Amino acid sequence: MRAGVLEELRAALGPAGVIADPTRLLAYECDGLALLRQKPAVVLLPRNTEECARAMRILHREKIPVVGRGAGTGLSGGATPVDGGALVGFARMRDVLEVNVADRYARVQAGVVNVDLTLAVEKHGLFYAPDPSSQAACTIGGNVGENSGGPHCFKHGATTRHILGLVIVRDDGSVLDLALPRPDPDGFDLVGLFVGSEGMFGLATEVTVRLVPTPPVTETFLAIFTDLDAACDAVSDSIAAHLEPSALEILDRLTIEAVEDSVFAAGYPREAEAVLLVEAEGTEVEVEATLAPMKAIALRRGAIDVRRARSAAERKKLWAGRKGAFGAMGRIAPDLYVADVVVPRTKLRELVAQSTRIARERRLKLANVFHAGDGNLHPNISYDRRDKDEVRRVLEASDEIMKVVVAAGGSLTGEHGVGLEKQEFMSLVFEERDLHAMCRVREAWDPAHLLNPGKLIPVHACREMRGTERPK
Amino acid sequence: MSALDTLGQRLERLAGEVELARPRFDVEPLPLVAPPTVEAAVELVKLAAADKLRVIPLGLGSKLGWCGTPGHADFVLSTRRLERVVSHVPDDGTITVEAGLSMARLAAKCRSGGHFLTPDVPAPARRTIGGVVAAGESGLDRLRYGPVRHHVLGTRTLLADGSLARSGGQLVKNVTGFDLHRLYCGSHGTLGVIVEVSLRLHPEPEREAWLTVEASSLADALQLTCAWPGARTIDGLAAREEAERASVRQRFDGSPHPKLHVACLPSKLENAAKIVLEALANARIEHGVALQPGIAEMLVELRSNVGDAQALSRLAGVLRNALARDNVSLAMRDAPRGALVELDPFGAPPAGLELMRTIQRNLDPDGVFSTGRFAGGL
Repeated sequence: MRAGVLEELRAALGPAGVIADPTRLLAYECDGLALLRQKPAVVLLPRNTEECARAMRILHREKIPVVGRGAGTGLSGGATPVDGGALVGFARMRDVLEVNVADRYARVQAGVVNVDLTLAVEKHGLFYAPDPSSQAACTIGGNVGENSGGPHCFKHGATTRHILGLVIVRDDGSVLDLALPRPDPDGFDLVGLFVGSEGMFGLATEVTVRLVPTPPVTETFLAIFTDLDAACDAVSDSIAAHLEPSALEILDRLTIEAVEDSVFAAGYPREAEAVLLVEAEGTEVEVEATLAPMKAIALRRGAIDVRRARSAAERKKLWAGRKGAFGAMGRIAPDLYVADVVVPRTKLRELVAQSTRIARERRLKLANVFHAGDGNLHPNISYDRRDKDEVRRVLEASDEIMKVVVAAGGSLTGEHGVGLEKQEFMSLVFEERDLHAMCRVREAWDPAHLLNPGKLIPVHACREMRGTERPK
Repeated sequence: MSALDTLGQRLERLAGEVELARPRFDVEPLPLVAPPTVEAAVELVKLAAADKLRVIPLGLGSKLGWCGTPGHADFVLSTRRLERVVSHVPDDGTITVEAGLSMARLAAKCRSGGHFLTPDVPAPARRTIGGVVAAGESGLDRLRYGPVRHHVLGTRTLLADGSLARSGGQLVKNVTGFDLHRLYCGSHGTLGVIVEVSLRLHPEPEREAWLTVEASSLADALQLTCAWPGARTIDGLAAREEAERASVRQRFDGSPHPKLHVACLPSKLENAAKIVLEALANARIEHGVALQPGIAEMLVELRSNVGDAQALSRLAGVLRNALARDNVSLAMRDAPRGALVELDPFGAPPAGLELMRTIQRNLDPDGVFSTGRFAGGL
């Protein structure tokens, strides 16, 4: 970084808005994909759109690459810094700017934590539907960048269906104000295009989100299986039977054990090989019309018991266990690799079994906890990053899982994004011409390739420099 | 191929037959080709790219009146013969079809698997799925199911260089790659030709019911529906004037009269409707109204006394100014010849227009599909 630039940034953001001290920078060298690390040259923490724009103008002039970061909970390396680049964090942009109850939307700064948004609006009988497992930490801005999902996206759809408007700071520091919500976009759907662009089109500083009325009745039950295949089949059956609960989640034995040994203990039965967590919401009639046939399917597929949560507290506990599952895995090994593939819902059993086999062949501990209703698998591999050979086997297994999933008509990622992690696998899913079109659109937003360079698009497709190498 | 071949002959060789058609009723007829296969469509676009020709893509053309008058164009490319069902997996709730399949036939296919097709558009036999997606058309069921762009899982799009580019896929959840299909949805074919669409399907409801409440005047109906707390959760609740239920569903489809399409936030609709209807009453313009308070959308058919094109253009301008404060959009559909000379049918230039132009230029440097028909002259 040229002499004087740091001072200029400090003048733009105030002394607390610029972190350049090497020890403090350590905290930012990776996101949830801890395998990849890179210390940024500087971390910038703007307080509002104007400060962010000011900083971006300086960085653009200096041709310094920029990586945006919400809470750093992402699992694909989307917020891994670039060597010599700046990291723009949104930790100081946590204001809810407007709640419009009549028109059911809220306008928030990008750094607002996902769960805080629902807390801010629940008194109006509204909630924000996308609920990633990391919702107690992850930010709305990060959710926009990754088009995040969560258990209830089965009914409500992923983040993109809930974003009505954005304020975007462009590569050169200009501000694109698309915050005002309307039923349909004016001109091209820039907001829809931006969601899930993994920080490569700009930095979203303000987000207008759709709010959903809290359903009058919510019911949750747990179906207990002695066989993971049977739990998968129960889900495939319920999709084929056109049932539409609001969430359909599966946890396997290893996950159950980890959860039950942890502070998230939810009362999942330890004797089960798998549990299926089902939630339905709506009117009492709607909920019954969904849960009764769901229960019948589970029993027909061999569930040994179906337990309905008897109170809101019990329901909360069941969900705390599910959402704490990734954290609880820390009990098994120091590190966790979370895959995120999606499969057609007719092939759940087959592909869950294949991933298990792939891990077993490589002597790895694989636990399954996943959004079964959406076909979004999370084969989780526990490992120790100090063990080089184990790291190698983890990556090999992850590669193999992606290959078999894509061959079966699936995709690389359902909610975590491509980032650095799956970049080289894009060519399994897309042809050169598909990637070329993506590159052309990216050029329109960021012709100098300063925004999160080296992510998502495989190197050969755009002939651009990679920011960070995949570990050998 | 001889250098002396006319364009018509060359098109005919690639597409089988060529007819003459007006891409809008106010422009001169153009050659229209409907290639029988995606491969033939590719060849046609390659021909256009090589000769720097301009192309207007369409399905069955039911929504061309939503767009402005095109600048120069050489031929019209219809997807209406691309009707293959590529894959239908009822047990996964997904379907992939070629873009020219009519909404009626697509709906029948979906029903065969126990699903129904949203959007529930008027005259589904006269619309293709590609056209509905490209125009971002909604139906009365939008209140319950949302806009069509939310159901598009992926597309295969024929770009200006003749390449077929995929975006998204056939899975109900997927974040692999940029969502270019979101860009194509609602772009009226000004970035490329959507040739294949993958959709998420919804179970057919067990029962459906219509509830009709007679109101003595449109003002009463408006007040009733805007005040009704349930009005946003009841499907297709529509206030109407001198129209049968069937025509509410039709939403003036096929009518040659100019129409105003008003869209805003639900809380702004009552006031917006008042402003528009008062202006029409003052100008003594006879009109019909179809309103969807739940999604804050109003369609007004201007039946007589519209005056000349300039008068209509002025009226739209005045209304847009009056509605701007509440961020209400007013689009003009099926405007008569001449009215669009000074009037963008979509409204004021959209925020981000420069970026939109760059995106268009990057995907289509020679402007094969850029005929200036879309918002802001895109």
